[in-house]
Amino acid sequence: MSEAAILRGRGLTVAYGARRVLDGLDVAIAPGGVTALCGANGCGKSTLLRSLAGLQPLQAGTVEIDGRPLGELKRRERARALAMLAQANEVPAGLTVFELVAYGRHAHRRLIGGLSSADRSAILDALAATGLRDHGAREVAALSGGERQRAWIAMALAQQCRVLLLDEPTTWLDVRHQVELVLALKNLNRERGITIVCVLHDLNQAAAMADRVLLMKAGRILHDGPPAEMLRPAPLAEVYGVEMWRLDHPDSAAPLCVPAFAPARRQPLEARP
Amino acid sequence: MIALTVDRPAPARASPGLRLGLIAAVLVALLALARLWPTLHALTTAHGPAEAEAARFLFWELRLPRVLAGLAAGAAFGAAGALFQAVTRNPIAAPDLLGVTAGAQVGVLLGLTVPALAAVSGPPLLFLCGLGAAALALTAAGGWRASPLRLLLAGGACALLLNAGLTVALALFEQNIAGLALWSGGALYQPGAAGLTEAALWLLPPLVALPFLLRGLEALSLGDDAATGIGVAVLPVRFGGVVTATALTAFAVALAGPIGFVGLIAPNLLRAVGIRRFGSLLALSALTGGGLLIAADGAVAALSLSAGLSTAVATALVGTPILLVLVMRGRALTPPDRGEVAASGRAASLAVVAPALLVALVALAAFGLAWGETWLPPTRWIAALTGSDPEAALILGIRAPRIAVAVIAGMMLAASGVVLQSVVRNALAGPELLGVTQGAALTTLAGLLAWPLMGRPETFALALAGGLATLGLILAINRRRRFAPLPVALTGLAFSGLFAALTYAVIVETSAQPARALIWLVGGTYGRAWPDAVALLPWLLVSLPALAFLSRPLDLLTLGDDAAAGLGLDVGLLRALALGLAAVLASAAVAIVGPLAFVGLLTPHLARLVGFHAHGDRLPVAMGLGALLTVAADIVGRGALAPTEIPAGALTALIGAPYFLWLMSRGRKGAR
Repeated sequence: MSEAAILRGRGLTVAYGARRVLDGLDVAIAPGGVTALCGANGCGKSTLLRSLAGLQPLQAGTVEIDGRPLGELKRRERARALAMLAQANEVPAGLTVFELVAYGRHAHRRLIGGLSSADRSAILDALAATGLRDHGAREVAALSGGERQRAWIAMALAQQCRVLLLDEPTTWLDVRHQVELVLALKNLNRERGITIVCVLHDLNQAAAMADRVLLMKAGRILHDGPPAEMLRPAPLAEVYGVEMWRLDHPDSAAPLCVPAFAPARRQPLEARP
Repeated sequence: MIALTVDRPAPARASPGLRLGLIAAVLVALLALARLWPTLHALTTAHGPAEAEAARFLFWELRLPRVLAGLAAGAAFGAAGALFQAVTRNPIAAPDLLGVTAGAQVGVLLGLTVPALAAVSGPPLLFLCGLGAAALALTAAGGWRASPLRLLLAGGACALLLNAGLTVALALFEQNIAGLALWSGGALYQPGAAGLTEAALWLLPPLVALPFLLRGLEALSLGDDAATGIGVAVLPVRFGGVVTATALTAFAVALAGPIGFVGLIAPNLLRAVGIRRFGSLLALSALTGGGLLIAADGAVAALSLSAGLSTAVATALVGTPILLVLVMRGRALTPPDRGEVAASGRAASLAVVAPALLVALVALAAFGLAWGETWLPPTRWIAALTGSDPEAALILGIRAPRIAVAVIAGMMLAASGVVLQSVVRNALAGPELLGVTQGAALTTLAGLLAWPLMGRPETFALALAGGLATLGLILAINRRRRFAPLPVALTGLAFSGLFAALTYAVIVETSAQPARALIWLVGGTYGRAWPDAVALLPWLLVSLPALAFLSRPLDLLTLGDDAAAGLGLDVGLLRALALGLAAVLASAAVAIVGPLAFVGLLTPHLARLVGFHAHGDRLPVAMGLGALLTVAADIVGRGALAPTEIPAGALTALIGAPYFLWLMSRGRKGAR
């Protein structure tokens, strides 16, 4: 995995005043995978994501994309290589979906002049891929939460980059839209080979979507592995300080976990008859 | 009381309010004592009856009332500021920013000029007018639930409107109300002991009302729903708060004139040092406000500056550094929600609107050429051009360049406003509110007064220096906070207040004809000739390609800094370029037409309200609207009360502000 990494952070250190948010963290993201970043609030997940996107000033450490330091890339090159969606996005009044997605073409467009045919086809393709083909003329502010999140993803797709960084993309959505979004992202990963790194609070969502889960605590990655290994009571208790039960999906045997809202119970559910 | 523990878990310090209150009280008492000491000393050591009589008069009739008036007015301004901030849940609300002070000023004017109102002149009339202004701002903003930003914008438009009206009145009735001109700079009223006691009676009703409002206003900080949930009658509390604050403002304006700053600064200063409870905040705001005002008054006296340096100027001088330190240390204020002024209505088409604007502009310009004391039909224009009608040529030679200057300056100010608002991402960031206009005006005016024969290149140089320096200061102060909208707005407000006050002081100090300089200050096209237009045009032409080039990056910036950077934009570079461009545009326009209000601040919103949000469309539409507005102001100002000239700057606000307020209130109904 070490040589094939498409995105790699070395010794990432970020501090706000005296508080260290990232503490010399190393991470390597393999191409074509879906990685979920999980951990308690304030453990540095979002800061790590911003650092990987080159948006976070670092006290120490470097981020490389395809072996090239991110700092060496011009801004437009960087935008063609990776896209990042923040947790909360401002939506300017009056902006239509098509216009928003067209913003994603900034790094590809000529400095002067309108959209080229390549721009247009990329925009239409991004709209189609997110199921927004018929919504281009609608105002972003008037969309439902799920549609709005997909519009932002369409903007990132229009950047035609290979890495997509997402900060809690499902947080404000209802269950149905959460499922739709997870499936849509999985699809994008499978069909287009886009590498996805995603901060998630819902561990079951992480398990359903990712092939690799990073568990973070206090600015470090404590555990790293496939969902089936990460969704076990021991690592979760270490990271969250809460006892969790592990279940396996009755049909697909996919790992699931729920918090034990009861005093410590020695036997995990799966072990009982 | 449940409400109190919510925002401050486990108060570690033992009631900082009480300790700070004691310290502040001691400080203010010392200040007052220092102000009173010389006369008090003279009183106790007086020899002989004549000297004693004089000393007694000096102490009891002059100095003591002055100090008390300063304390009372400052306290009322401070408390009114805290109240308005609680009611609107916005830390930069203040009586002057919401137009209430200007409303009270209108009351003073009415009391002086309308004999029938003489009976109620003084605090009651001021109160009614202030209340009217508050009602206007609130109505336009969309009622109590308006977002803080909408309310501030509506209040700002209201204040601009009323101030413009006042300036027109000052310009028209210069002789009758010379006293008002001086007073409107703000000065501690010298009514003597009797006048002070009379005014103090009007302080009683708001003081009686306050205790009943305290708990409700405090709960408002939780939000309307939560406040209702714990049993607060939100509407009556809000209403009572506004009425009480307006009464306090009216009282303070009656005593001391329209002194800004105190209402804005006092509560924010206290929040920055950790006062959260509303009761303490209100009481300490009053104390701080009173202290601030007598400190400013004392500073004027101590430095034995002339009477021309009014209390308002001194307050701005004392208050600005405090406010700036607060902004720089970043302790003040959490930003309120960043609401848009209005959701744009329908999506308008540039292909329809742009030609319509152009046709309207041409028609208006043609009308402006023809209309006036002498009606000039187009046939005589041709005759004038061919040289066969010297009279028409002479008149056109006066009218045409004014219109040309109006068109160019209007476009430049509007473009500057659009760019500034987008770059700072703050709907309040017109060149007027950021102090760029005032900075350019101050340097230009100072230059004009120092070297009356100064040529155009020097004027441009001075204006650019003033505008760019102001902008540079604002940016330097806010660099560490990444140009967060609210601190930038606060910094700009501080500078614009300071520079406006200083400009005023310069005028009073040096000019034999304050009214003329006042008119220059309002901005206008009076007496502008072809060389002015020719000098201005290159600035516009050079900036057009830059504007076209920047419009797309500015679109991206509306998504936020991170999103724009993620899309491949060099946000820092864009900010620097765009801000520089905006400052150059505004300063160059100010060099020729003076600080024309309203155009730069509100035409960008007009363009948005008409239905344009992308910069490629919004810039040309705003520029067209700016040109249209300025030309209309030029024509009306020239002809409406001929031969008296109304300054165009007053008219841009008088024409534009009502339209803006109307659009705002309409947009709200459409949007929600």
